[in-house]
Amino acid sequence: MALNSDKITESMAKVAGNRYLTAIRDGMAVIIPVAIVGSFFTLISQLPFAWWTKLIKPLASALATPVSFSIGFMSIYACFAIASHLAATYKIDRTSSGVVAVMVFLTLAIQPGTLIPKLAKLAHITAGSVFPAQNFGAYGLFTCMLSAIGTVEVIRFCRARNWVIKMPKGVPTAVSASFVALIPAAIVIILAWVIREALHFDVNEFLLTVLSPLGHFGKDNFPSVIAPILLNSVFWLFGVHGSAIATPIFWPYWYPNLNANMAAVAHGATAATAPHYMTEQFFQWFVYIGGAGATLALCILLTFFSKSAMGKMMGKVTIIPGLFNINEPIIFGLPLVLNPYFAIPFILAPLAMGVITWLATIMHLVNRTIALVPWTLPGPIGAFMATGFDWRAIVLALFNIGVAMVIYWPFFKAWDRNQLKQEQQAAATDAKAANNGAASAANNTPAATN
Amino acid sequence: MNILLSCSGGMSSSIIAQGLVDAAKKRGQTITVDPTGTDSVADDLDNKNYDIVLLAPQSVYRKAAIEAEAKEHDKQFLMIPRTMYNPIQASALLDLIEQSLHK
Repeated sequence: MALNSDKITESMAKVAGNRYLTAIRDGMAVIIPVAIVGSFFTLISQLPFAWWTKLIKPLASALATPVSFSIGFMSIYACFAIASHLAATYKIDRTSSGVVAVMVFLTLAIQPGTLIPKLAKLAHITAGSVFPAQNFGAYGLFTCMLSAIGTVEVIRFCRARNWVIKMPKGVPTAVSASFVALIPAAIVIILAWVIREALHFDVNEFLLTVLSPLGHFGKDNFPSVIAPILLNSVFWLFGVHGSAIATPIFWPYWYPNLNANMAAVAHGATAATAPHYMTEQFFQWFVYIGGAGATLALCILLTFFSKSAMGKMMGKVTIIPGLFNINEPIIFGLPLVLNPYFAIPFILAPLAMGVITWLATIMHLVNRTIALVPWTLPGPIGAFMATGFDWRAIVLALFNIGVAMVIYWPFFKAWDRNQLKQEQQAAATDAKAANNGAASAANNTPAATN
Repeated sequence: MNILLSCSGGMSSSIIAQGLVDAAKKRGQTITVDPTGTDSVADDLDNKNYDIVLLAPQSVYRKAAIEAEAKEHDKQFLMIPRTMYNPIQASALLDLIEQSLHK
């Protein structure tokens, strides 16, 4: 059994540790600060006061600008970051790889147009080249990943075969580095250009079509609620960080949904009427409260209902990080990893919360998420903010914590009882040893005096 | 003693880092433990002189890369056992670190 589970962990680690998946995960993480700041601008327009709404109405388009340039341009940022992370693993120059990858992405995914002066006047913008914005954002993510990986691989291929321009000695290293990138850059950019302009092949459409089966798990439907939760819990149960695998698979679907919601809000919708509910924030604030497995509920049980000393101590150590959604201390401390006591609720609790949230959402009992807020906020506060300040989101988050507590309860009790028994036995053995020691000491004393 | 402690994002490692520092303080030792994320380990090793690199158990999917990075910088590498990745076990983890440093 132990051997088996080690093997499973190992193969999961192998999948999640894939060089490309890791570069995608690390690269996409770069977007988060930008997306969060962009989200603030969405949220500002949603503060629930009538006078405020009136006050900022004239600013609507000004407020929409940072939103468009944050999450609405994420493919550009992600492309640079993914290429740069991947280049680092090969010890190739990061910056030049990133820049070339962005150009490849633009060549493949963006079709420029020209705005004639007459139309420009009508639209109140300067005449000249224009670029449709859609693929700069989340809709371009697959092409962005492919461009980043493809570019770095071409550079590596050229370097391995020494297809580079070497500069004579004495040329500054920065200058020669830029020439090293020249041939691979030319190859990969010309290749992208041929695909786009000579073959008229739309890589982005192609990838979206080919990968559409994956999309069934990232849309506004029931399987999309279940699949990510199952995957996340199972990975964590074997001790492997769940997001390592979930990020590259699901985020390319969750981000476009969030992006569409933010765009809808910028055009006058509210969090109640936003088009999508399936975003990463759905899970963050209503399911993974306290971290993967919705462990805040278990931290609460440990802190307030433990009879065993171990349980009380665990509660004390884990509840504060748990409030801020950091749960490694409880996952590895209790532990939850590979622990038969807790495997069932670790899967069931988040599943139940997901189903409840899904029902509440489709019955319009709670707003949709329209912003990306920092994941280290305490659950209900994050839920309140991400839904555009919907008080019902707080109620739902608290209700979900309650549901998780009920699901964890029997398993927690069994564990605590067992723990207490062990502690009592240990105490009894100690006491016995102490008694024996005292008794033998007492026996010895007279012997000594005699 | 300078320790670089990496998890996936640098969050949970900061909790364990604090635990290690406290455990060392109790023994009258002063140690530095810098928490970090797996994607910054290479840079961290370039910028500061560490004695050992620790990796959190849930980041096992990056083990090969981090271990190679440590080796390249001539540093000890230690994969933290699952049972020791919580502040309560900090003292045991500190023992393990010292053991692997004096191997």
